[in-house]
Amino acid sequence: MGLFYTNRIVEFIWLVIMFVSVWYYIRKAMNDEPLPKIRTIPATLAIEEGIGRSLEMGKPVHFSMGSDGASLTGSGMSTTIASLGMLRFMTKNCAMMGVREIVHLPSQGYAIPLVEGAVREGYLEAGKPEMFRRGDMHYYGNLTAAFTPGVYESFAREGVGLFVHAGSIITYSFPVLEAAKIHGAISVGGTPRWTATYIFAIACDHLFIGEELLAASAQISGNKMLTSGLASEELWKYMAVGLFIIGFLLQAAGIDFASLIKM
Amino acid sequence: MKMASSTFWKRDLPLLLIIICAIPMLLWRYIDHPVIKAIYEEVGTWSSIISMLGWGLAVIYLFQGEYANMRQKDDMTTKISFVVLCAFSFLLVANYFITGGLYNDAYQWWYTAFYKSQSQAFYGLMFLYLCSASYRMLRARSLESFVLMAAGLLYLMRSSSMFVLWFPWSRGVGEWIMDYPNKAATTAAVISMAFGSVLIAVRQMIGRERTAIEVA
Repeated sequence: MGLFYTNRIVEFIWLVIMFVSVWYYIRKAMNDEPLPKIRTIPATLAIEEGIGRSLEMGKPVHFSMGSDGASLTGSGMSTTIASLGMLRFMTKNCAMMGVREIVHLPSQGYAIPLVEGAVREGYLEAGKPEMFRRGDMHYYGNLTAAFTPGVYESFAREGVGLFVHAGSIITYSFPVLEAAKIHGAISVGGTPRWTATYIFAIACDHLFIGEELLAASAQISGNKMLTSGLASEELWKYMAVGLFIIGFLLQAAGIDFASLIKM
Repeated sequence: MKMASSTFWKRDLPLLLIIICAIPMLLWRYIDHPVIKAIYEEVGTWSSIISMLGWGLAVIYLFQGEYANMRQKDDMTTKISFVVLCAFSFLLVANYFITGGLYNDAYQWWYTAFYKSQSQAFYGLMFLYLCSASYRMLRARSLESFVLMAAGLLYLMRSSSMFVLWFPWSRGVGEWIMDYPNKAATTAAVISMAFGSVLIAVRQMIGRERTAIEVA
């Protein structure tokens, strides 16, 4: 002994089970077997509606992941990937309808090539790569005090028909969403972060609640790998709740379940 | 051939690097071995280096983006914006190299007179938007929301020295609102939130409302 940390054995077994479930669904996706179906998320339809509205109004569409919403580490990473999928879908639709799209870049410098890549791919998919304009990718640096007024200024000067604000957003979403409202935009937004959902529920016209953002991205991209990831995540969710209920009952019966899972 | 090469650089190589780095990062959590620890620390250092390079890239992008914006729009405002960005950046860099640091009068003046003032102005602007949002939310559409709005207004009066000077009674009323109705409402809200959270979680779990995946 001595090689393994003895207090992390159960955690390791849990990790292995998760890997197996991911592998199972990836294999299903690769073999073109049917995966669980994702229902249509209403906010996704609102994005298409908003792009059409922007076209009628002659105003651009704006997209933002938040001033610091492009984390590529920890739990925020999946949200960043989902937001990029959303951006690509939006760009493609904007390009097909001939609507200008303005992207407000997050502060994380390493995320800029990813965001720009998603936009370029969106234009390319629509067959209009010439619509990409570097001047419509607004970067404001590492300060919310610069990001928020920069977005206001863009709304005021360029106009806004639709504002999509989705990502692992932490702060200052509320004033930006309010500014979009004041300037007459439809706002669509959301974050899987439970503690920040209330901001979007108050300020957005259409909302992605919790994992809906991840599901919407998987659905609109048509990427089976993303759907397989969601399917395994759904499985873990049930397993975690099951573990919680078993633990609750065992603890109530006087069995030290907490020590058991700390093995 | 070109396509295969492009796929290798853009997809296969990054995936390979991720796999090589991720396995020791995961094993570090479960295995107590000096080699794995050393790899973990090395990967951590490289992660910091890449992050710093990312910031450098962001600075370049800022200038490129502003320049492209100026070329694209060709109006006076964007030209002024670009000139101001360049001028301040030049001042900052020149100041650093001439005086050997940023703790000097010239930099402090720049920081206080320009940066801090504009930051405060923008935070003030944000406050106005917050007021607008609050007004929209609390518009007195019902008796309950009117009571809530009136209580909030009275408490605001209690917090402002000007109002306390004009209306001395507002302090007592504000304190009473804070100590009694506010505390009772907060407790009620916490209890409701607890019930609500359980309810939403259960509805999510059984796929009644927000579960994203419906089994086909």
